[in-house]
Amino acid sequence: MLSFIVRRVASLVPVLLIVSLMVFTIFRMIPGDPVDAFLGMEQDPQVRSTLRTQFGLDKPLPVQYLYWLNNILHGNLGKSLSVQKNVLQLLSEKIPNTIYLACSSIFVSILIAVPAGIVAATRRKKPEDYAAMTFALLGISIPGFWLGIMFILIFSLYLGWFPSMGFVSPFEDPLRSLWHLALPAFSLGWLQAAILTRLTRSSMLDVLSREYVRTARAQGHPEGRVVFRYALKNALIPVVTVVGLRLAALLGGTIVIEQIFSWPGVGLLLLQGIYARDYPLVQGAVLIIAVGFVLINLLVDMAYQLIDPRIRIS
Amino acid sequence: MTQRIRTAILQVYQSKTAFIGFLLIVALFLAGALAPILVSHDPLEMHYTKRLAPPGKESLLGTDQFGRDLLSRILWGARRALLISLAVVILGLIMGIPAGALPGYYGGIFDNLAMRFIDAWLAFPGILFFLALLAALGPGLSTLILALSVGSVPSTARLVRGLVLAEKEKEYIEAARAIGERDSFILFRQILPNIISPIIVMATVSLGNVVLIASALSFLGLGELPPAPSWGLMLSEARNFIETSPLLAIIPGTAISLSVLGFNLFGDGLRDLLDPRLSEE
Repeated sequence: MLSFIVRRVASLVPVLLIVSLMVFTIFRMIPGDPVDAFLGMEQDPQVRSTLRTQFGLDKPLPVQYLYWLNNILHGNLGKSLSVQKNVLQLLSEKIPNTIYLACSSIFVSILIAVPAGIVAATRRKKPEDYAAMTFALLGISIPGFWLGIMFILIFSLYLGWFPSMGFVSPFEDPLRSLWHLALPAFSLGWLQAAILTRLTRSSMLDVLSREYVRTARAQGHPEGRVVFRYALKNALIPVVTVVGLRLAALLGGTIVIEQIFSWPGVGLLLLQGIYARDYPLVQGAVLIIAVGFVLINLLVDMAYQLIDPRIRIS
Repeated sequence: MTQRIRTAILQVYQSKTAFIGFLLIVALFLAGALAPILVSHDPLEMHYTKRLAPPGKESLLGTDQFGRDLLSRILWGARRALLISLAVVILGLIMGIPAGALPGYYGGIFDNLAMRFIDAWLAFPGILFFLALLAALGPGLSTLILALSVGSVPSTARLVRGLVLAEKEKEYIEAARAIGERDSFILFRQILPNIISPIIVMATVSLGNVVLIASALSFLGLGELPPAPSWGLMLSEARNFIETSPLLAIIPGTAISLSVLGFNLFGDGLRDLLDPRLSEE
């Protein structure tokens, strides 16, 4: 097991190097000298040449990359231009809010998808099944950002049930926090719910056709017990896998949803950085989100090995 | 091949969902192609006296905050959405097919390195890649198409590589090698035509995805620029008037959803027909 973990973590090194190389390359594509972009209005030639040396821009590109990498490894992501703060500090303030939103939306999607999938599978080719499948199809076709706006229109402006923006920390006031969370979490969870409903249904159908289920039925166990006690447990294995895999993909979805609901997370910070042409902030945020994505995938992957030893063999 | 296409068309007609998807796509193409004929209003023409007008005789769906006709903007938007997704998918295939086919065909350390790189690239979340690239290059139609097509390379390459890998072991390829055909001939004239079905399926579903992502990026202000009749932009502008003129937000969102739905339904249907192995159930 230990050797597996070591090997898996070691395999991360080339991936992270390539990701950092991509971020570096993308932000070297900014038209003009990076110093122009990073400095904005500042015109003093003294400051410029100091910065050029500081960024190592007088050196060849590969050296510049190593220079930049070295800074990152020392936790130095630079200073934001629009907000006079350290980029790493800015990001770390926002990360928990994004995780809060992402995890809640996963929770919401499971809450919708698992019952819907079970109903669809047990009532196959009946109206309930078609309803669930229609929902699943709409879920993957309707963009989350439009859904968010429609939720604001219906539940916030017309009905007045939920606020259309704002954030309250769950540690300050748990109930108010949930109230603010509802619309963004549903908008973000919608797509996941659709994917998981489809998956739960097909996985459940697969398990229900297995022999052990037939045996249980033949022994005269009540249908409820067959479905929930025997079939569901096995049917949920692929669902759990996909939930894990989607966790990282959710990070991307949060960017748009955070913008619509003014949710103070990393995604909104990234967008504000882009609008303000605050390149150190954007570069830092992109790097941190990408690395977070890679790390979450690694953790999910390792968690499976612990839960299901069969995976380790293959 | 033609026989297969003919049966495929027949089967699409018989599969209800694929047929609905097909109809939605046809509607989208017609809307885009016939936009100049269907509507007389210029989608960019502003009328300050007719701002935010409700649906009526003169403007079937009403007007936006600059008095521009919503219906003509939606139809011209269909044209833009289609042109963008076709451009992105075709460019993506031009780059992605060789990027996967060559490593898959030649194998060895070249393949190993290429795949390492592609896997690492896929570890980079899609929307983040687009945001970063557009933040660096600046928004606009050409950078949007460039970013989206480059971003589609790794997934295309991975699919094509897997297909080539399986196909090159077959006997007819061995025979072609034995009679001394050139590698480029074997790869592009013999292997490629035989693995084209799954690539077509992927491209169809990608068309829908591109509509979705391009609208999202335009919505965020990083894709198309005003005053272009882009669905994403229209949605983003409509947010300020949502209470008084909800139609301005409802219609473009519906247009995006129906287009994506069409490509999804049709893509699913195609997958079942052309490549039953990939079918979900």
